[in-house]
Amino acid sequence: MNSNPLPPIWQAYKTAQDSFRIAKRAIKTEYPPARQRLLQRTEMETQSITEAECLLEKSNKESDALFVLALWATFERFIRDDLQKRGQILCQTNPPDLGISIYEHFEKEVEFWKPVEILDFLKKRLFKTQPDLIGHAKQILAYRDWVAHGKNPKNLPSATQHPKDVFNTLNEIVETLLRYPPSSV
Amino acid sequence: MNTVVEQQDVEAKKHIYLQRINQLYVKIGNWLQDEPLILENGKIEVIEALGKYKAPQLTIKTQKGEQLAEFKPAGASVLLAEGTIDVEGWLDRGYVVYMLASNPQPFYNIEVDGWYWQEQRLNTEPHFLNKTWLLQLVTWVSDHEF
Repeated sequence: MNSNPLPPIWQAYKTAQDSFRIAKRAIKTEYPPARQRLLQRTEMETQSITEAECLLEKSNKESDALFVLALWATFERFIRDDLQKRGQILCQTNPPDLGISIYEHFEKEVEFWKPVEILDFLKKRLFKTQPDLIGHAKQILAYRDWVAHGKNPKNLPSATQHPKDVFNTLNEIVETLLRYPPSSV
Repeated sequence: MNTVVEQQDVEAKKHIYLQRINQLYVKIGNWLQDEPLILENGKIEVIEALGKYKAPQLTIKTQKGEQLAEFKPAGASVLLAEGTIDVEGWLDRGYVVYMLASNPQPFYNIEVDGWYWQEQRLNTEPHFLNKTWLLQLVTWVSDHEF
């Protein structure tokens, strides 16, 4: 039985966000022994408050971008695995030797399907009543591509992404697929 | 022809976005007029899909000059909304987004057009920005208690 792999990614992201808040409070701690205890054996121990704040802020922004990257990668893996499982019905084709060969070819090919094409065929029927949802997933994909290809400042993504919206959008697609599990062969 | 139409569309989107930001700042000024806070107006360069342009920035400070929150417009093009402002304090960043009641939201129940603080917590509805939620947002990004 498949399960939704996205909530653990969200939880990891939220934990990282909380850790940034805690670290920022630690560097602002005024009582020197407490500050030293909190920062000992970290990169921030010897930095000024300004330097440490700057470092944390950059790291926080990077964490947002990496979250989208990780969430998309996990989403894409789930979709391909799900499609491959659904394709197992091809094994029932007669004669079985042909069915199995067709399935093996299908299973291999799914790995090469372009994400945007997968989103297009999901939109065509299964999500025909929620075309915007797939449209939003395409915007997330564009943002993911922008991050993965070095954040080219001359070619900005079409929309800013806030982490919760990214999670909700991809999570909705995953939950919909989970509501219709592939038939067992 | 298309290019001219597209450019007009872009300019219209920017214009509406900037207008909404200014309306929000006027409201914030009214909400905080009796609080011991100082508001400073400035400009920030927005770089987004619609291009590069200047937008108004608002900074909230204590009377001692301690900076609590900066409202930094981040663009009109944003997933699931019509515009977004980053609200930055020393501790964290919050997102304020403009949402329309007429534009069906897949995840939230939006009954009034306006600016909402969207907490990054699951199963939490966006908070329609009023004085109470503004002060909570400032506390969230700065640990400053009112």
